[in-house]
Order: sequence, then C-alpha cells, then structure tokens
Amino acid sequence: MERHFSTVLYGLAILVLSAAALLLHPSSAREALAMITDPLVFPTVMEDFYQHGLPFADTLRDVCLQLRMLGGAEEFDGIVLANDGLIENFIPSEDTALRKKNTAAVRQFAEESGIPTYLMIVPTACAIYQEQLPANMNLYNQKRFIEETYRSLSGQVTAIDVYPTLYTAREDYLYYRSDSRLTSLGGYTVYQTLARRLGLTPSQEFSLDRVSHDFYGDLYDRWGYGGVKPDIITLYHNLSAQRSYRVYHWDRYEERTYYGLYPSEAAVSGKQEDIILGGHSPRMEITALGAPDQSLLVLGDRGTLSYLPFLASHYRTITYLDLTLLTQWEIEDLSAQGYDQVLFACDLSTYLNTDSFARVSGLSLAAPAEGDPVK
Amino acid sequence: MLFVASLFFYLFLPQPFLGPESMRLFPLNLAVMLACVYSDYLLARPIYLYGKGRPQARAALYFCAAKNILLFVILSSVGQLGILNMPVGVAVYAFTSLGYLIDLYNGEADLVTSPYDYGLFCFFFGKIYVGPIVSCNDFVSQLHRPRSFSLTRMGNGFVWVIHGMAKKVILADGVLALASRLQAIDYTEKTVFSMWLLLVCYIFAAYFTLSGYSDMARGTGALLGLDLPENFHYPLQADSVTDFFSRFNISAYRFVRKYVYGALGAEDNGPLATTLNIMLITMLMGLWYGVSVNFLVWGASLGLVIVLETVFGERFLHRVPALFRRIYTFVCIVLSFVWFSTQSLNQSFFYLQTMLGLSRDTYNLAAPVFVDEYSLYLASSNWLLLTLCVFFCTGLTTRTARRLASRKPLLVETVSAAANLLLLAVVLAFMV
Repeated sequence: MERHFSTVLYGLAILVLSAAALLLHPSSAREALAMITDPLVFPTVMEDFYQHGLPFADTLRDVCLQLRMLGGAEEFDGIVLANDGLIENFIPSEDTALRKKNTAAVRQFAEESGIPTYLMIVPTACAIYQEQLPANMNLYNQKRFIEETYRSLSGQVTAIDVYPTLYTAREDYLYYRSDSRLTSLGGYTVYQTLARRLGLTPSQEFSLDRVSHDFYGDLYDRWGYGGVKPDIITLYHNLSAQRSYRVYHWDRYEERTYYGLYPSEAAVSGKQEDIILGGHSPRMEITALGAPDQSLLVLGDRGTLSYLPFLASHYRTITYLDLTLLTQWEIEDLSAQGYDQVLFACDLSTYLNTDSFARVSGLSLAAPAEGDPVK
Repeated sequence: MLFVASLFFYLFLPQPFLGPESMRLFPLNLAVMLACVYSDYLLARPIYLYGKGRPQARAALYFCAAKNILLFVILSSVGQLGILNMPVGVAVYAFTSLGYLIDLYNGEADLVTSPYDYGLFCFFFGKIYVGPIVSCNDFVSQLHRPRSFSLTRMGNGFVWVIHGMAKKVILADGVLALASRLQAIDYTEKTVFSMWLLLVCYIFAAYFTLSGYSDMARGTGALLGLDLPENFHYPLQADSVTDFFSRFNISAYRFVRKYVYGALGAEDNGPLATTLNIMLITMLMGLWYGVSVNFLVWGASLGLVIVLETVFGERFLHRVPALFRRIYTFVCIVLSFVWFSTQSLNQSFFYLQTMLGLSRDTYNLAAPVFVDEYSLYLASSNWLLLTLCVFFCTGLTTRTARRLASRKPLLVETVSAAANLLLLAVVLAFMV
C-alpha cells in the first residue's frame, strides 16, 4: 500500500509537536540541551522537558485519566478519585517488626518516665471514607488494628480513640481532597475527643477564616491527572480563650519564630498550608501567654499540625517533636522531664510504616540541662 | 552517523530502565561491547582466509563462540544474582556477531572489511535492546546500496514506531501494573482465578514488551532506510506449541534452529536424536531470556509438548477444530509461564498447584478457593485493557486492513492515518 499522504501527516504531527515544545519553552529546551555533556543527568532532563513542555500536556493527562476510567480503572497507583477528591488506599508495610517496636517503645516510655502518657492513632481517609471507595477494593482493617493496639497498652497508656468520632462525621470535609492530611475541620473533630481524654474542656466557640480556595496538596502531585477540586484552607480562631502565642521552629540550620498560630508571612514565603503554625519542622514550641501553667510534649508527625492549634490555648507550653526528622543524637539531646503530659499522636501510616515512636528510647528522662532550647 | 548514534544510544538508552546510578557502569559496558564485537571482527579475517575445515579457522571460530557464549552467561548470571545490572543488548550483539562468524566459516557470508559496517551490523541502536538478530548478508548489503527513503517505507516506519510504543506504554505497562497487584496478594489468599489472571498478565506483558520493542526497532530501521525482519508474528494465536515457537522471537528461534538444530543433524538421525535436538533448542530458547534454572525448565516443558506434538500431532491435534487447537496452545503456554515468570522452582510449583486447584492450606487443609472478590475487582477494573490485549494478540486488524486495502486503498489509508495519529496522541497521553 502506498503511504504518501499518511507519511506526510505523521511527519508533520511530530514536527509540530517538537517545534511547539521548543517554542513554548525555549529556556527549558536550552537548559536541557546544555546538559548533553552529562550522561547522568541528560536523559532525565530531556524526559522532564518533554513531559512538561509537550503542548496540551494537561489535556493529554486528562485524556489518559478518562480513557483509564472508561476501561474500568478506579484506582491509580493506589489513589482513587472518589466523589469529590482523592483517597489513597493505605497498604501497611510487610515489616511487622516496625509496629511492634513502636508499641513496645510507647509502653516502655510510659513505664520509665512516670509522666501521664497518651496514644492517639488517627485513621487515614480510606478507612473513614470507605463507602466512597470501589466495592471489593482490598482495604486494610484500620479499626481493628487501632483497637488491638490500644488494648495491648491498656493500663499503661491512655488510648484516645478518634476512629468512631471521625467515622460518625464522615459526611463532613474531614480530609483534604488533594492531600492525605486532616483539614482544619478534621482537626477540630479530633480535638473534641482528644481534649476530653487529656482532661481538658474543649472549646466550642471559634470564628472561621477561609484563607485559601486553591490549595493542592501532595496527593494531587502524585496523582498527576486533573479532575480534582482545589482544597480550602480554613483557620479556626478560638473565641472563648484568646491568647498571645509564640511559635518557635527549629529546623537544624534555621530557627524561626512567629507571633500567632497562623502567621500569614509563612504562607507568603513558603507553601499555602504553612499558614498553620508556620509550617512543619522537626521541633516546634508553642507558648501561650495567659494559658494554664501546664505543659505538653507531643511526639507526632506532619498530620499533627491539623489539631495542634486547638490544643494551644490549653497549655502554657506545647513542645512538638517529629522523631522521624530528628537524628538520633538530636533526640538524645532532648529531655522529656518536666512535662505534665506526653502525647504520642500520628496517623496510621506513620505508626505502621515507620519506626518513628521506637526512636523515643533515645529521649532523655533526666532533668534538662540549663539553657536547653526546648525546656 | 548511524554508527556514532548507536554508540551514543548505547550510552544513554539504558538509563530509564536501570536508573541513574547504573550509568556509571556504562563506559565499562561500552568497552565490553566494543571489545567483544571488534575481537570477532579481527578474527573474522583468519576464518575467512583459512576457510572451512582448516584447524586455524576452526580454532578461531571456537574461540569466538566460547568467548561470546561465556560473556553472555557471565553477564546474565551476574544480572540474575543482582550483583550488577546486565548490560543492555549483550545477547543481541554477541549472537549477531557469532552467527556471522559461523556463516563466514561455512562460506555463507562475505567478509565485512569495514569496521564501521561491522559495528553497525552488531549494535545498530534500533535493534540493540531486544533484537531482531539479523543476518550479515541481509543487513550489510543494505548499507552498500543507495538508501531508499521512499515515503511508503517511512510511513511504514512511523506506523511501526507508533504501534510499538502503544504496545509497550499502553498494553505491556498496563498489564504489568495489574500483575504486580495480583502478585502482591498474600500467598495464603491466592486463588485459582487470581493465579490464572496473573499468569495471563505475565504472558501479555512479555509479548507486548518484546514485540513492542521489536516493532520500534523495525520502525526506526525503516525511517533510516534499513529493513529489519519481523520478530513476533502473533504467537498467541498459534495453533500448536510448535507453531508458537516459530512465531515468538522469530530471529532468535531461527538462529538456534540454524546453528544448533541444523548442526546437530536436525531430524536426520532418528527419533531419539530428533527428540533430544528439539529439547535442546527449546531449552536454549529458554536460556535466551536469562541464565537460570527457571528459564531452562520453561524451555524444557515446552520442548516436551513439542515432542508430543511431533509424535501424536498427525493423529490427534490436526483433527480437532482450529479454535480448540488455539485454546489448547494458549493453556499450554500459560501453564509453561509458571517457570518463566517466577524466581525459583518452589515458587513455580506453588503457582502450578494453585492454578490447578491442588494447593491446600498447611494448617487447616481447607479446600482451594476458586475465585476471590479482590481479583474479580482487579479484573473488572481492567476489563478494557484485558480485552484490548486479547484483541491485539490476534492479527484481526492487520488482516482486515489488508483485505480492505486491496479494494479501497484510499479509504483505508485515510482511516488508518487518522487512527494512527489518534493512537499517537493516546500514547503521548499515557507517557506524560
């Protein structure tokens, strides 16, 4: 068969695509070509250039999503496009030693420190929003694991079970549509149970401030397709206990201090979600002037930031440590002595897939040295 | 230009497959490839000059054969053991070169005097990844005549490249993703259905990956004015296992048949020798994909079926309807893939037991479960992909297009151009 007409068409299509990529992103093309002498980098740079420089790349990504969905696919790389957002299917690590180490470490800490110790494992969105997921999808039974863990620690650690609270409120906007973390409303819902278990009276009066309507989180970046509405970042201002706050961040080579729970300057220089407590750091200290003279040590993960602002008004000092981000010697320099309460709080993926809490054994239980930046 | 491009691609091509860390090894791999190919090039002259039957020529040939086979075995074993990533294209350049030397010794090929031509013949970038293995006479003669860049040939080249990319990016990667999820099901929860689906996915993945790369090689060759042979001819619609072997990796099968089966006397030395020869070539075809016991057993299991077909084929197989013959062949291939797609014989036996509904839970001796909801969910989530895989395993579209083209060529070219452009857009959509 003679293919004159079609050959010209194919050639033209490829020429137009290449020319459009070069014309639309000339500087990226120059940068990519400049890397030709570096065989370690060049293929990756070229791949990136074509992925981002290709005309109609976003449309093509949407086409891909639509085609896959037409073909029956409901889950992409473990992420499901549910009613109005993305939900990541949680798959626990096959290394079951991690969870055992974490549980043992929490138990040992509670026994040795003598400080009232609390444990809160927050379920991920796929457990709470399971009704939005495809039928027969292989879901890990988070509820059972959380209950079993709490049972194994009963009598030594106070368990804070927020699963029922979150599940009851599952129709609400508890998790971000484009991120795996809790929204501020989710944080508020958790706080209602958490505060009671910590022996506090949860505040009910808050004013709401919607600061962003176009937030896209990390799940959206991994998703790579369109079809997801942007998230709203809402700030909760406690009206019944207004205080002056100081939030100190320690990030190894950088120290920052903000005066307020929601520093807008942090969002300007960083990511949108950094408006909440000024972002996430390995070590943070929240001081509230006028609050009761109580102190809380929180050993948590990134998700903790959604409910930490609600606790701030109840304690003079809250120290937050992310043990996965601190090195062993940095942990050994810190002390848990002098705190009135210690809260281990993380989401289920951190508990099952990292040895975050197991590293608490490095934390000193002796009185802190003079001049210690945390205590 | 093509020669330089081939060296350039050898240096750059593997990174997406093996990762940036392994790039440090590529100067070494390039050196190994050049040393292997050009030592053969140098020894080709004495083989040619002394001629067949002379001890000097035989010694040079044996040396080259031992060197190339050892190189393949060592590098493949090193890759299998996970010590280093296997360099790209070892089987292709080592056996292409060896085939040429054997032909030269037998007087079936002309001496290639130009090192440029010889290098291009052995490691032309289009075919370095999975072949096809070309014969020297066919390839080098094309380099010496004026390259014909006809629009028809280029059009075919574009179509092969687009089809190759579609096979790899849409079909092979899709079923591989499905296979990895089926593979992740806990051993105690694997069912008869999940295992059959897993094995079918592995077969589709192997076929569409290898044939996709071969199509791209053929297309690249056509765009540059070079003809490369077809390497896969719808092997999954074969109507016997013997037929499957002659359609799956055609150039490698021809290589083994010509240089091993033929050299051993093919079918001339009686039924026992024929049986042994068949077993040997099928086992060698297994080792083509890597030096491991599993690949060897894969080849041997299919060899056994081929022997049975040779003995009883006339009496039974050829009398049953074509549809049943195809189903029988497909089932044989699926069952044989328990060796091809696993890492150890123990794992293969477990797969086989589960597929046949013979596995029992060690503790409660419960009866085997035939279907589970999760596998059904995975199958239903990928129904279109699996349907497309089944459809494109057959030559239905090609046959229909060919039949229509003889009646309405303009209509077929227009529709085919539109369909291929659309396919290109879909491939890009799956790649970005």
